[in-house]
Amino acid sequence: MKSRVALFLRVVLCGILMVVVIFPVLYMFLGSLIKDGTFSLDSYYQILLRHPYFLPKFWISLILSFAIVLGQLVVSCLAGFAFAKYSFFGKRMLFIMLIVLMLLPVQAVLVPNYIVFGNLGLLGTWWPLLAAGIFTPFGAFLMTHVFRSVPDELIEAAMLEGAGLPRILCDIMAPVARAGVISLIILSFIDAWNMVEQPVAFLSDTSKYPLGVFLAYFNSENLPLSFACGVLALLPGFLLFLFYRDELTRGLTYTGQVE
Amino acid sequence: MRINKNRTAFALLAPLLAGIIVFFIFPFAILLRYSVTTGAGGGNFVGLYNYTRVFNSPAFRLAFGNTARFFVVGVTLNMVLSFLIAHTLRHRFLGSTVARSVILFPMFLPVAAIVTVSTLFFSDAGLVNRALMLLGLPATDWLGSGAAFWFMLGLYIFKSIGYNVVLLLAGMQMIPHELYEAADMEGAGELRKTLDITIPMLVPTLFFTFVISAMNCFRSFREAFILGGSHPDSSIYMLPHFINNNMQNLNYQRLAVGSVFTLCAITVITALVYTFEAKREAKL
Repeated sequence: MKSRVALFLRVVLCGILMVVVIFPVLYMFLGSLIKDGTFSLDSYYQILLRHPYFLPKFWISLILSFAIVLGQLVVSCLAGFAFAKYSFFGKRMLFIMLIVLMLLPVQAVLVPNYIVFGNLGLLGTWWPLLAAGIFTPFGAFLMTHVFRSVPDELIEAAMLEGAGLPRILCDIMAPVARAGVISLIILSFIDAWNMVEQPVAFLSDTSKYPLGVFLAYFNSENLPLSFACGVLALLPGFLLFLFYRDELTRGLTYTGQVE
Repeated sequence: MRINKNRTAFALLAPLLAGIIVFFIFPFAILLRYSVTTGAGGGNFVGLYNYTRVFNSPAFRLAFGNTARFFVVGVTLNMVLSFLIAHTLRHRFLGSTVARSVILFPMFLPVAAIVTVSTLFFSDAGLVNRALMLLGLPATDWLGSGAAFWFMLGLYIFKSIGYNVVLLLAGMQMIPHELYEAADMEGAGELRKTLDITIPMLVPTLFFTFVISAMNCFRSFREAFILGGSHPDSSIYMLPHFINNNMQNLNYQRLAVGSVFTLCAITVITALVYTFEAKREAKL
């Protein structure tokens, strides 16, 4: 009897959790489809086709995000492999530094970065956003934990066969740690897609804002229209979540495991 | 495995290190210089003058106090709640598998969606206030009063609790069943088992949960910025606001002190938890 009650409480808690997460999103989605009390796709039509900025911004944001993901992938996998499988001078200190930088709020380095990019003449371009995204320290932290889980024997065997580093990374580490690599791709994509502070700081021209910021500041009095903005901003992340949630769960799990 | 090749290791680290030097170390060198000088070009060395001035300014004290409060309350609540949720979800039952992945979903919510939904639910005439009024309770100005602090805290936990739950669930699954079986034989209750087996065995995971919670805590200021603007209610005026406002006023000295202080505080916290973790590991 007691366990029945416990099970019931669990199911209820689960239900509450799901309502808290799903209800606002569902509300937003349904709200975007209703105008003047009837079903209508007018909000989407307004943003997608009537607004001169939306489509170009969508593609630019997508390209920018892909470039950031690619850069993160290279930087983080190389560094993660070094942290996970090599011993070298100052490793512990470096890793702690990585964590400190990972925790640091973005605002703390925005001004000096602004000065540096200003001197390089890159303000107002996409390069600062790209660089800020690529060198986000979390990726290296994640990949260090992911690669630690790859058995040493696999790497040793490959080395004995004379495989070089690129082959070990691409043919052994990446497939074995597939869930981890997918998680890195997803996380850096959402991060890039949702970038706010850097565009606001480095792009003075608001018409150049990427989609995420543009939609967030699209403060329209028209409720269905802002619902539709929210839905569109959410779409890529939602698709990634839908298709890769299991990989993401496994990938994130690595960061909780001890060496 | 410990491949002992300094040179290869540093070659692998080179891109990351280059990025860190250009985007973190060099910037902090600039900030450090601003923080101990006055004048537009940073000509006159004034020692710690800027620091004492900033530490005595009400704006900085407010920002520091709020940030510390947000950090301590937020990270603690996040860890306790995620532990309770993970503890509930650790066995399979109706809905548990779905709940495990759904709880990660808020991580994907972009700022635009958060802003829309927050205003819809928490504005003056929002759904939450309307529900409160139906129940005969007073409506609250969620973003313009002291309630903003709790609103932001809720938003932070909502967005980041899923990551913690995933970590803790994985940690709980690593605990050997035999321990619980032995406890069952001795007639230990659920609470005893949690306190004497689950929590002690989870300490390494809790350490990483703390690191991730702290990271997400500082990241959650992004939403605070967009929802509250650069001059939000005083209960959510945080260190990033302090830095940001001084950036807009072009007061680089104050900003530099704020940034250097933030870096030092985070370094101290990280070093403390790492030393603690290393000591614990050494004891085993």
